Amino acid sequence: MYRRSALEMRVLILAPIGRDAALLSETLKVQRIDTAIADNAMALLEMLAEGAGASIVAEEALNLEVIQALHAWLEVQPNWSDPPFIILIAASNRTVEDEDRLHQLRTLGNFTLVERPLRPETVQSAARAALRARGRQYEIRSRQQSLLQANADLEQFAYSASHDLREPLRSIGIYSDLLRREYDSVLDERGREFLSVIRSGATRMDALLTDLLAYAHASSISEDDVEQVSATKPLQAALESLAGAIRESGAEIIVNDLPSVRMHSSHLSQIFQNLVGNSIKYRKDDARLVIQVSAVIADQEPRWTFSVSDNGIGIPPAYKETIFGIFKRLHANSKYAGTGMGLAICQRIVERYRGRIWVESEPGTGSTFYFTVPA
Amino acid sequence: LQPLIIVVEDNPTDVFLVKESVRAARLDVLLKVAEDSEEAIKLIAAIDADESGHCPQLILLDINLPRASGFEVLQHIRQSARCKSTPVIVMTSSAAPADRAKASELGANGYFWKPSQYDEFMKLGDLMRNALSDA
Repeated sequence: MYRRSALEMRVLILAPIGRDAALLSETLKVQRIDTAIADNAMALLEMLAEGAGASIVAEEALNLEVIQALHAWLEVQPNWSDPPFIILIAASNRTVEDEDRLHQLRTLGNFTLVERPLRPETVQSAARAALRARGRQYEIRSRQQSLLQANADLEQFAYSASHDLREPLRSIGIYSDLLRREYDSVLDERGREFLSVIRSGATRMDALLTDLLAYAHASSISEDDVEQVSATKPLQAALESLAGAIRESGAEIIVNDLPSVRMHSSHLSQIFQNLVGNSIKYRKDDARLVIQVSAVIADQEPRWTFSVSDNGIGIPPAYKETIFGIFKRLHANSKYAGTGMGLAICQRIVERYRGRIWVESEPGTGSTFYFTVPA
Repeated sequence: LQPLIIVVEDNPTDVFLVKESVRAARLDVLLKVAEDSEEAIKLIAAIDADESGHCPQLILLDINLPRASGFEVLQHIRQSARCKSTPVIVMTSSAAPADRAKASELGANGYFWKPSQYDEFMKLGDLMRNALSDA
């Protein structure tokens, strides 16, 4: 379990009039709750940034400017953080301005109103409840950090493993190439066949290693450090790496206007590469392949729904879900080569950005893959 | 006078393939192999210490070396009095973007991802030719 630091356990007090702050502090001390008194709103903000379990703020210390400053600070809080505020308000003789301010306070989100005159038990219980809630938030932060670390470690492990596995694999591949080049004439048909099995085994393992890496990389970047990128660039990168296959298949690729999205460029590029690559791989022999890439605003904004559609062989309805599973394949390797990881990688990336990926398809007519990403 | 290329590489298979790619690209060069990072660092230090010392025209540098890594060798090269601007092509089978970024940050002139196909490996010859003609 996460152990909170002293700073994270304290209650901040902003009550500039009279002995209010000192009295509150004493009331909480009885319950062994540590306090720190802020002389003004700026000081409170600074102390909040250092860490705090809760804040008790007297209504009169909050003018519109202070509420806006607090609001601005809350806006940039990480997703685990929802700092609790206990606001002390007068129960009677309330002016229109007082009510106005109360209305403004709603922007603070997590706040509890406590009416004056104060009863010690009321303040103490409100402080305890706030500290408990904040404690859970700090625990979530700690778990988030360990998850991020675990993901980073896993990715590093995948890179090292794929590097170390690739070394002997490279020798197998390259030396079977050399045997074929230099000793072809002394091999009989059976020997050549053995060699070609070795070569295709090495090629397949190479593809598996590359895809395992991409799968590990799919969850490596946290959503917080992504930037706005135009979707056109990652698509171009994907099309460039597929240039050979596109040329060979004679595919026509229609790209409609694409928006910018909040996503890591290499992730979007990987999705395009896998989906367009699939369209090329599963094309029909008797029709010119046409692939269309588009985007529309999704039903639940702020997101975009991208689509990659083709006029290929299509997917039987029974397999619309299974195709996204890791190592799931619908065809023999001899007919369509592949690792069965392409769509699993796409799904993992899309889910990383809390999106969704699905397919609509009619066998013999074509498929359209859709995925949603943050705008 | 033939241009000198120093190959810092501990894996005999890859040394063999570098020689093959020189042959395939018909490069008229002299190859000198350093099998680990210490040997490479000593070599650079010796050139720096010798008044008439000549730097190689190109260094091919593996990253995954015994003892110190290739990155450390690259740092030594870039801090060398004589050889700090010698072109260096980093060779590795690592696909980690962090390795690539580190190589260019430390001043590598090129990055060769060691492939698993013989024909692909031979492309190193063109990379060497370009690096030599740039220098």
